[in-house]
Amino acid sequence: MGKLFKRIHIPAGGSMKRKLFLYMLVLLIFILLLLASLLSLLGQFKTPKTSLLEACDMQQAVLGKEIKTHRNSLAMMNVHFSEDLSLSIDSWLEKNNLDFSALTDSPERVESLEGAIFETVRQYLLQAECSGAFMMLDTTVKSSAKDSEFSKSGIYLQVNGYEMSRRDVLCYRGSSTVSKAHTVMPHRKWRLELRRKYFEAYDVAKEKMDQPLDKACTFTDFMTMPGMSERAMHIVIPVTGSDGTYYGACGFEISESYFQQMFRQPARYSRMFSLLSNGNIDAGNDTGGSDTHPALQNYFACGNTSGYYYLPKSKLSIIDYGKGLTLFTDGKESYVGTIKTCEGYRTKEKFTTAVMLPKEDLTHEMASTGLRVAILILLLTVPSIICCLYFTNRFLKPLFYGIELIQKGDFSTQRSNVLEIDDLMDFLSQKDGETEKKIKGLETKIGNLQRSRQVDISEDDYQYFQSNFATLTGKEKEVFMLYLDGKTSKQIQEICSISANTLKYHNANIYSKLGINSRKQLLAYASKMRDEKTRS
Amino acid sequence: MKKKLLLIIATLAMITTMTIWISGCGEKTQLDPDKPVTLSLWHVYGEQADSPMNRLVDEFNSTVGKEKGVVISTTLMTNASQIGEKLLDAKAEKPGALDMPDLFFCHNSNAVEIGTENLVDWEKDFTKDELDDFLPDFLADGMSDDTLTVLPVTKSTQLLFINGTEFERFSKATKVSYDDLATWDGFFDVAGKYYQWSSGKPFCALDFILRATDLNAISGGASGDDLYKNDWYNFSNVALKKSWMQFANALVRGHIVVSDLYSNTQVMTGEVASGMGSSASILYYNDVVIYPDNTTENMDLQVLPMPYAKGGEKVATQAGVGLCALKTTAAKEEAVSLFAHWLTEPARNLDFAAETGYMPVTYEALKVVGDYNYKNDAYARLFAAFEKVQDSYTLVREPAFAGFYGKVGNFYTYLRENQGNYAARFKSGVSAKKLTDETWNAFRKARG
Repeated sequence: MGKLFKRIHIPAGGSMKRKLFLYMLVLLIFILLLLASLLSLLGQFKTPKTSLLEACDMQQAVLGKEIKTHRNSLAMMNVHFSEDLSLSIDSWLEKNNLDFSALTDSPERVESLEGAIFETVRQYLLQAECSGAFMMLDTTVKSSAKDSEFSKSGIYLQVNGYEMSRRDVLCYRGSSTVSKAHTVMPHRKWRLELRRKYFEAYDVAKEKMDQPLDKACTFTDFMTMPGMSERAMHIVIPVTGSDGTYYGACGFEISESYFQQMFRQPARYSRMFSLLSNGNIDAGNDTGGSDTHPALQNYFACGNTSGYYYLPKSKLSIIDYGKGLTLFTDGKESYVGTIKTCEGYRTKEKFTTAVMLPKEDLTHEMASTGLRVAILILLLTVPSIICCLYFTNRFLKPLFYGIELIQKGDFSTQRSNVLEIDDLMDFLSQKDGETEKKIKGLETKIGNLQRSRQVDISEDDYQYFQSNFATLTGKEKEVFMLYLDGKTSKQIQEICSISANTLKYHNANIYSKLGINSRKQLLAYASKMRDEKTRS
Repeated sequence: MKKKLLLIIATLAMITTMTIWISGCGEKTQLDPDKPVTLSLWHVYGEQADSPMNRLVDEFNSTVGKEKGVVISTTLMTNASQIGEKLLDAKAEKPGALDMPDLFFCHNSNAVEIGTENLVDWEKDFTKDELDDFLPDFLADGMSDDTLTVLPVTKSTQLLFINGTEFERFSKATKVSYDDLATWDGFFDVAGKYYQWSSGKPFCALDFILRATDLNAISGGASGDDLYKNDWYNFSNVALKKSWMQFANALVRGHIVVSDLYSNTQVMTGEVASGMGSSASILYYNDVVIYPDNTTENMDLQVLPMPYAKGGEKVATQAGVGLCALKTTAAKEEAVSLFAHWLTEPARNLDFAAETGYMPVTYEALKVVGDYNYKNDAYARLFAAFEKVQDSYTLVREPAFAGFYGKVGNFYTYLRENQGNYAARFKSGVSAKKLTDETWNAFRKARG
């Protein structure tokens, strides 16, 4: 840290206040950076978009895995379901010594067969994680009826409500006599037979009747159940006899209510929800307008276990939102999240999951994060300023006061309350006393000297000196002036390039002409003459 | 120093006053659109096929609820009897029981079992003017311990639903008419004729045979209060026995049956020509009848008021659950009040009633029942029957004793299990008198 501070250049010559302010500012920035780095290292310093992306990814991973596992489990159970039904029908046909085609136009035989397979269908319904189970027989009780080729006999049972403690079964399609004999009430939108046009999987299953069962499982798209507002998807597989006769199709139903109840997950965001589409993403077109983007059109939606949510119902356009996020919009409401297409473990059928939350929630999150950061900076800055003011009051002000006292030279009467300053003042006070003493000594000497000078110079001699000064020759005046400048004899010899004897000769002339007998007397008269000239 | 202290105190007092003043400005509300209150709801409007209430809840959530911060979440849709059982399970915190809902539709007897003190008093949520628009009889139905705990949202009565296509054939052959079904005597007579004409098919499946017995007795002059004793029937009441014996006579002969659960399922499979049940069952009536050979024909559903005793008063049952709310937090209670007010607004109340086959509960909504544009003929006939009931029938409240419907349910189970046997024994020569006595004894022994 010391090195870091050394590297930070604080301009020299600045005031103490300025320097302290700059150092404190640097310290504050350093603390903020350190805090940011720590939060970043601990994974706490994330933008709302990054956090949302992580939450969506996690949610999607869990949802995707659950759906894969669920589909795999249903596909596996469907294989067993088909095998068990095949055995039951074979057994019933053998027992009654009938061919499968003998069922057509025979309500009694169909009812008898439905009675034989009813418990199998109910058991699979209760064992499998689904909302309905069905066996659609490749026959009808009235082939002469209009559109009879679309009407198929069979049993279709549904769970009424999804409480774990109570799973009431209802007969949605099939003989009401048989269902009541098995204490299962007919559904309020009951029909005797299934309509092929509503159960498109029937034809798909028939096409796959020659394939091995583990390859013949098909997941349908979502469709509105006849007579109901509920949508559902089917997992269907062919049922064939031991002799290869096509008996029909069996499978399970996953209704939207079931999906909503069973696939809800805990979520970090209260309004986060998930969508499931069976891979039918409308690719959009490049003609511009609202259909430009790919879109999710037919999907199941489920919320989360802890929050509340308004599930979208219409087509959602898919638009890139940056940073790995996707914007979903139906024109009125917008959502932000992620979308991913997965493949089932066994079935290899693709499905798409999307996890999102209303865009306004992200906007709100971004605003509140900005506010939190601002508050954090404020929380660090305000105490720092208060600390600086405190330090200034407690540290700088006494220093300034001490300096002021020193400047005033008042060392003894007032104290600064700073130990070092007070010591300095004591030291200066001591030094001050010593200097005063020295000055007083020097002044005494000067006084003595002046007094001695005044005694040596007599007025008559000085008059004589002044009147005869003009009689000096040029060389003699030059020597005289050099003496006045304080030059020694040797220096004058060098300056005037004369010998010692010549100098003695000039000296003798100067002394005799001016009436003096020593160099001391000469300097005293010269000094007086110069003072008088300066004054005049 | 003193001055400084006074200045600080004065500043703090000013800030506190300002805060109180600012928070006092505008409407005081516990609701926050950013943090909505979620209310769980159990209701009876739609079960297996469709739910008009769920559509209404969706509308509320996406409009008023979104704006104010309330989310209603339907956590159970079932019948009133199941709701009654599950409420008690939830209250007792039985293992596997659902959590107690914030809002639920139930009978007054269920509310009593939950405890009036645990429920919101609607008289505190609705002003006197608001409550004055509700029919007083409907409000009285929701009172317990002088507290309005069950808010009427819709009310039902029992009606006779007839497979019009089948009755038309029967009528042509036997010259019976719908007018013959106005009285109980006529009803039993028609039932006998239909049994003969159809070679042994019951004419009617009754969902609530005991309530029909009550109404027959009351219509014949009995006092409604005298029919019950110690939270169950008063078996020493002569009118009760006389009325029951009429029904029992038709039952042991196979002319009528107690429905498997809901009579509409037996009408749609062609097992019976008519069903007697709640007006709300229209929501579940198929538009076709499907026979075992997959012959399908239009049902042409006809709806008539309940028969009455010949020469007696026209009486009809006033049934239907109401809305209860659990006392919880202040925010939840505010949300509950918001939803209840929204739900009972006259225009919405009529729309909802018209779609579900219930009677609206406010004068303003009832005024325009006749002019409403119903979604099909069956619904128009249903509301025409409602109008007849409103105009010329006296509505009688259903018993609301704790545990009463448990005993009723047990007796119905007994009858369902034995009615086939009674009819077979009658056919084999056992006298109707012996068999009806057996049913009376079984009725007396019925326990919860």
